[in-house]
Amino acid sequence: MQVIDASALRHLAMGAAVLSAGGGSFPYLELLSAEEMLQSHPPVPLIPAMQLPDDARVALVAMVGAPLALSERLVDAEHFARPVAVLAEYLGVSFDAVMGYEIGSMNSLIPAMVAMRVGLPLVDADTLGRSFPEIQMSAFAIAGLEMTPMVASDIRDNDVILSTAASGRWIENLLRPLATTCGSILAVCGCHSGRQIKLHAHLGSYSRAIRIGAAILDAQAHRADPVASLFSRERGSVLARGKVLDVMRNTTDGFVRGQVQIEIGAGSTVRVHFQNEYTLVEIGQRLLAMVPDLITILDSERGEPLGTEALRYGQHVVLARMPALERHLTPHALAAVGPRAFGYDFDYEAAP
Amino acid sequence: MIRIGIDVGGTNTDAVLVDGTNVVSSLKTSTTEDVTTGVERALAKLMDNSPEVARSASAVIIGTTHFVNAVVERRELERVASLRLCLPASASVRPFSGWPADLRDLVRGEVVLLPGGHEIDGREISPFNPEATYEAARRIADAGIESVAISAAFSPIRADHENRAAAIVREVMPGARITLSRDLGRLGLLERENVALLNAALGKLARKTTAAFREAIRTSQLNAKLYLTQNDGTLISAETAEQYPVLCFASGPTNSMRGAAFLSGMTDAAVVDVGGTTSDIGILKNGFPREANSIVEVGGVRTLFRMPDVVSLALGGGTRVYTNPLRLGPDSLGFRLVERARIFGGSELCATDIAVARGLIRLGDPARVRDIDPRVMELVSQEAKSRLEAGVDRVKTSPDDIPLIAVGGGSFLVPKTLHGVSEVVFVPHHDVANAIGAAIAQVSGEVDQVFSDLSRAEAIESATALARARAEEAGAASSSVSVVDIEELPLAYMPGNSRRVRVRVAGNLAGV
Repeated sequence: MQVIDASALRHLAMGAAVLSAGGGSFPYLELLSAEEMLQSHPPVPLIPAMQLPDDARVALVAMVGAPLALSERLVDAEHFARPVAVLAEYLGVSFDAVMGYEIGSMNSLIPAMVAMRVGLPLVDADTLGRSFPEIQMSAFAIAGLEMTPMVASDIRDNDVILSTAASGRWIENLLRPLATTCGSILAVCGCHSGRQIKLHAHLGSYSRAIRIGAAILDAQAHRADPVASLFSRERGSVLARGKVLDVMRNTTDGFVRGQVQIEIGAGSTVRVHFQNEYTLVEIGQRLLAMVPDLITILDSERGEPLGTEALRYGQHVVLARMPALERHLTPHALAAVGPRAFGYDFDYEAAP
Repeated sequence: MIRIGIDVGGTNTDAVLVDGTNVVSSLKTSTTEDVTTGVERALAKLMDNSPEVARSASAVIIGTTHFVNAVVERRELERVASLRLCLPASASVRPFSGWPADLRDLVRGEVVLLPGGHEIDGREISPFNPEATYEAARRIADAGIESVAISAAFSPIRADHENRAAAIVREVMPGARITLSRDLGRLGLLERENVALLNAALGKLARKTTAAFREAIRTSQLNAKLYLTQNDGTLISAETAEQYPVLCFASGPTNSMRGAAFLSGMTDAAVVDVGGTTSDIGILKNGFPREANSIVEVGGVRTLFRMPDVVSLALGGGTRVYTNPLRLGPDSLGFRLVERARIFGGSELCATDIAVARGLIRLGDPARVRDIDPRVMELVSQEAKSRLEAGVDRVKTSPDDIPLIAVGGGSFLVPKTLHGVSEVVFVPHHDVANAIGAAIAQVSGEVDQVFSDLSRAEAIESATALARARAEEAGAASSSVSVVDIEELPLAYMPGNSRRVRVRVAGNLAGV
């Protein structure tokens, strides 16, 4: 049985940074905190979702808010375990396992910390398969599952039970202002059954993130090429290698939007657009990748993913694409996570 | 206005005497183990060279790597207490998290977390608790600790909780040295707290060092005020340096860059300082070193504060040349250059030997390098050139060609033309550019804050006014203060189009 021990945590943190698709950075503080918890807690088992009984009750957890706030109000397992207890009491049930909504960046480590804290196994799955900016992009929202009741906890004694919401988008709309009121950090928990997870979630997300992180970190340790190592173990391909020429950013509606230009040869450039995450790769009039493909920009030497905020002129980078997950390619899913969901006026086309 | 600038490097202590914009006298001596003996010697030599001018110097400005070396080498550090205001948040990542074990064991004393700190929008996380703070201060006093680092969530936005805690600690422990994180670091609690902890650990050493510098000035019969240069290329009073020794961590490369700006008359260019072992490359923007926006590790500790963005290359005058197979460095003869290099009668080949063989510089005995294979010379020069080109490209912010100012004792290694460089500028006194940078240092003020619900222009205006006030408080003549740098970063998932604005200003020291 796989457990989330110290080395799995490090691999997970690196893999989750890749799966954040530029929307998050390496979750250093969360890793530090999880590593410290390991001093006093046994490592949690990572269980395949398929082993869950249909009627298993799983607590799904996430941080909703602004990552910058977590650089000052450091992550606390106690806080993120709080809505789990409140929801269990509200529903009058006890949970069988913990799972994460989102495998990207810090939201991959927080469920592992909560699992350690409450002493339950962690389910090897998530509901986004990567990072996406909003709750309606979750596989459960796409499948039309009821995502409420949901509990959102402040660090102080404020817990809000969201008993019903009209849609995934409404959950998003209701939670954002609440997050702002609570210092831009909310600990969120919902409850789903083993059956719902097996049918609709992205399975194997944790083992995938750990595999990705191990590919990069092992290669670093052996002075091998981390990017080559990554794509020998994981589906995907290098789109371009080059140097960052220019980055443009601005914020609208709480999103960081912009684009980065990468020089890939004499006079030839490729353009990557982002809306918190990387959304589109463009070369001339041609599109090389688009959401829900996972677009990542890696440091060419160390193979470490670069978030949009870390990009700057002169970095030597590898631009890579990991193909969209099967679950993201249904018409229903594409309506929520395809190009049109990000405001582009064209449909998803898989890269040649 | 007559000033003396001294740069204490790992190998050499350089000193200059500057009258206005005129370099009256300059010299190099060896750095001594205790640092101050070297400074004393340098002052004595300056007095010998130009007694009249030197005697009327009103300021001695010293740049030293002594404090950062103490952290890296784990010596002369004191045990400190950490007091953090954050509860009920942030309890699971405790102070000293992520530190190398050896350093943590030397420095970590009492660690106390208390209620308090602020939210991103400036509201309190929880109210300040005076009783708990008194109790913590008594505990720290009982443990016999004399240096306390105080941190609080979002203190760069709201400082009141750190200030109130400091007042209570001072009341309970009147002799304590107190470091507030907000005085040093940027947003990022753990990294800012790390800066405060390192600063607190250097308290004793800082006092000892400035006392010794003052003594050196006195024994030289000078009636000059002591200043130290800080990481951004400006100066701070000796009293401020005693309180904030971390501000002096990176004064070496910044002094060189400021000196290069002064000597060349240029304000926007790349600067390379070629020493014996490494070449440091940085960017001058408005005459000042551009700052790093990311985490800088010091002795294995993650920090985030005012540090220059410098790329260090393994290329210096002493960099060894191997012929079978042919390679350049990365190791260097360092200070043993003067005995081991071929031109000085030694048997080891280094970059300086090649430069002499190629006729780039006259040094030592050229006859001893006449037999060097021209192909070796060519390949070594090519390799040095491509390393410098890559280094310049790493510090650039756009693809445009920019000028490069070459300074330092090994600047003869820099070719006259480089790809990506519009012109290579060589300047007089290049070998003491760092000491000149110290001699001409100005006073600065900085602000790094999140602004919400303000237009971009309004946010920048507020930040600039605050930065000006800080510069004037530090001794800048109000009329001379001008903006050095403005940076702004829009923030995701934040209300009211929030942006983080950083503004830095600098001006001339008033009355010196």
